[in-house]
Amino acid sequence: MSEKPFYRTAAELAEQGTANLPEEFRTDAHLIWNSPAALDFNSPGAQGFGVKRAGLSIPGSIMLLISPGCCGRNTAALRGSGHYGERFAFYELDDNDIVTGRHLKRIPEAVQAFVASREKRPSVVMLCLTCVDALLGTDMDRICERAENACGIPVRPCYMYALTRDGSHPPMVAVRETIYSLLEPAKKHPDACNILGYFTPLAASCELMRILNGFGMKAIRQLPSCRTYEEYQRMAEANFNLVLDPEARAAAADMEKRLHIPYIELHRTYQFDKVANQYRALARTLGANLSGRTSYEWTTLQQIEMFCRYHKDIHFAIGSRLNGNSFDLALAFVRCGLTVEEIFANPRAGDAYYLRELGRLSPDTRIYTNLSPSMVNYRPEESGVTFAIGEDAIWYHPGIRGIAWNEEIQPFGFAAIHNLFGAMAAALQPGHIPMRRPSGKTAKEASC
Amino acid sequence: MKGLRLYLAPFAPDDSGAASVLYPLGGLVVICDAGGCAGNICGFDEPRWGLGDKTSAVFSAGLRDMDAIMGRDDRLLEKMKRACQDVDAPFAAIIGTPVPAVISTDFDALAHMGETRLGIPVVAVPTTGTHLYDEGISLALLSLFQRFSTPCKNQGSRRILGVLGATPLDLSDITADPLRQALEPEGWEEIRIYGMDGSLDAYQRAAENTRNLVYSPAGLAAAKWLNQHYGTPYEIRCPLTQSESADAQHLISYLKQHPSRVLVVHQQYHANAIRDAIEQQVSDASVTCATWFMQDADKSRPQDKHFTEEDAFRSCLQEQDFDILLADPAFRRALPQGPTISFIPLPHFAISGEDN
Repeated sequence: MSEKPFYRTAAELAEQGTANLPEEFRTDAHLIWNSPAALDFNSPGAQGFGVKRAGLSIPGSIMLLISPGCCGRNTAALRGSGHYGERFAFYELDDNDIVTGRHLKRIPEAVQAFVASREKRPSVVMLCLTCVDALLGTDMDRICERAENACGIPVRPCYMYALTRDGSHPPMVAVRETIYSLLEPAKKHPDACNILGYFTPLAASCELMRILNGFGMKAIRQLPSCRTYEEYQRMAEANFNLVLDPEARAAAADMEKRLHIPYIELHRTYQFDKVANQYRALARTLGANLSGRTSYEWTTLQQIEMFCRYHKDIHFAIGSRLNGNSFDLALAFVRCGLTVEEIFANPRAGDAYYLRELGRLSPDTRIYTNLSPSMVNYRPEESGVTFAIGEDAIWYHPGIRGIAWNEEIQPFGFAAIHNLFGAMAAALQPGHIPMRRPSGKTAKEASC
Repeated sequence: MKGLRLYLAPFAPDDSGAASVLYPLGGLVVICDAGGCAGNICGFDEPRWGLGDKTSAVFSAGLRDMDAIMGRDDRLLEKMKRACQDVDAPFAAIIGTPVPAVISTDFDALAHMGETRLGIPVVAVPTTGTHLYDEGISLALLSLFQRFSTPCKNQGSRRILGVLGATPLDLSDITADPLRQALEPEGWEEIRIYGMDGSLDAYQRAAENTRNLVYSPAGLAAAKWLNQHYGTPYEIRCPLTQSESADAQHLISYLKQHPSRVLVVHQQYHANAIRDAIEQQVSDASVTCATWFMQDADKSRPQDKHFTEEDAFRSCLQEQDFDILLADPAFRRALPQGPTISFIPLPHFAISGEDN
């Protein structure tokens, strides 16, 4: 029996390339260890948003989960937060339903009853389907149409098909398409744009809004900030969409096709120079001017320099249950002269650049996968790590200093870097109490 | 409408029940799913998961669409074999979910092939995710006793009590200490609580048990099997813990002064235990017991209820004049408007996912 957790160094992965990753980094090639570090892989909504919560992003929407009872079980955890409890109902399938498909005929009636039971008339009904219907090949578009005719408000499908998570159209991509699919063509406003990608708003400290204001944008809309269905519909007035998460790319492409709203992609990166370059590229694309260093850049630079001066001896472990790309974050630290001992994340094709650079600048960084059964044998004492970032890294390193960096409000741009270094510095203050190991209990509280 | 739940979230399913029995035993527990079911079990239905330093060994099979379409059982076994190189497990268990149910996975064959391939005992629990937790507990207990228990020569040499059908889903607690304390005055030399104690040995030596106590209907099938195979007598009894007795006493004091119609909703034997406690002290008590889970006909009275639908639960409260409802706090939301009913929380983890 092997008593060591599986890992590869950055140098090894840089040499192999993302096209030839070891099987341990492939999610379909081995059992998935269900540790607290991997919870949000198995249950994507365990932290932040899964299909259920994401599907309810449209103001005034409600969701009927049509599935065996087990698929809706953790929805009970949403009972207390944000009135989600009022917004869910369940149509539980039994064995006969699954065999005969008889439930499909009753869905319009169930939707009608659900709508009638709510005090306030909902804006839209989402029908959430799970693996069972993925296997049965249910034609949900037709069923939604019938349900829509029955209840008189829009009805849309949300596919929580865990079986297809490695496919070309995974659930979190599909749900983003669904939630923007209700936008109807509207007259364009040249000073309006949308920010797509996240289900919670950008941090108020983020400079992106001010930069867009500087480019003449007056109405900058984000779905999570829309309070009413009418406000949501005004997203169709946008001159362009800014896509901040690649999982929203398909939705943006669909909006381009249907609503003639073009899109521009920006990446969340913690590399200072890349943020600056992105903003300059954005300015060029929009025909605006962004010359010289802005005040955001100066204050962020100062924050980084200060941190690196006082804490250059820190040895980091970087997880993947955080707001950011683990490899990008590791590279950002390494380029600042900091030491990254470990990364807990599965590299994807898009990470090839980061791996190449990490292989060059920090060849001994160890890259583990949270999902491998061998992680049962992980022992933190041998790691040399003194600071952990991300809920999973904290779980592997109980008792040391660290930050989860996974708040719902989304960090972006220079402000993300500034706030990250500020949060790390605060966590390193004398007297700061080390993070407790996240337990199953805390995971449950956040669950769904 | 059948199957429609407008106010109540789904209760713990059978795969969670099976996992709760297997969880403490240190095996390689594989949820045969795409990921979501394992996430639900560990992230919601298993309150012991992730607590303390003990690492659990619960895995998702990580099924993908083509695995399901092609029925690639051999691939699952290959994954399990590889995991056995990393995890020192005395046995492996495979727990069913809706995906293998839809593709009609042959769990007996899977277990049989698994034993050959892995070289360790394999139990398979054919849960489907469409049934409730107690059925999963029942199936898992039976599978474990059938696979591991052996006859023993020294039955009766020590006074050993086996407790069947008690997991955190029923106890609403991550330890069995309060239950153990309730049983200790009976003078047992050893109390084995299946589903809570972390010993496979207790299953292997189940034939030594002097007596088995069936704590919930989920333990009844296993108790009957042990009785049939080893002659172990069993009794159906749900001992109230100290705090449960204290809570019952508060209610009894009230009922002595204010005669009321009471409805108790829980797993059947727990509800019955509360009724028994009341009836011992309140001669004209009117207590109806109800459950959403398995109902043992021998232990129910004509007026007792068995609910399967939310509509029926609400209609019952609407039409029958109960003054007091003892039930999990999740039921508060499903109370119909109209009748005034006093609600007393009676936590049941399998309902709300909340412990005591």
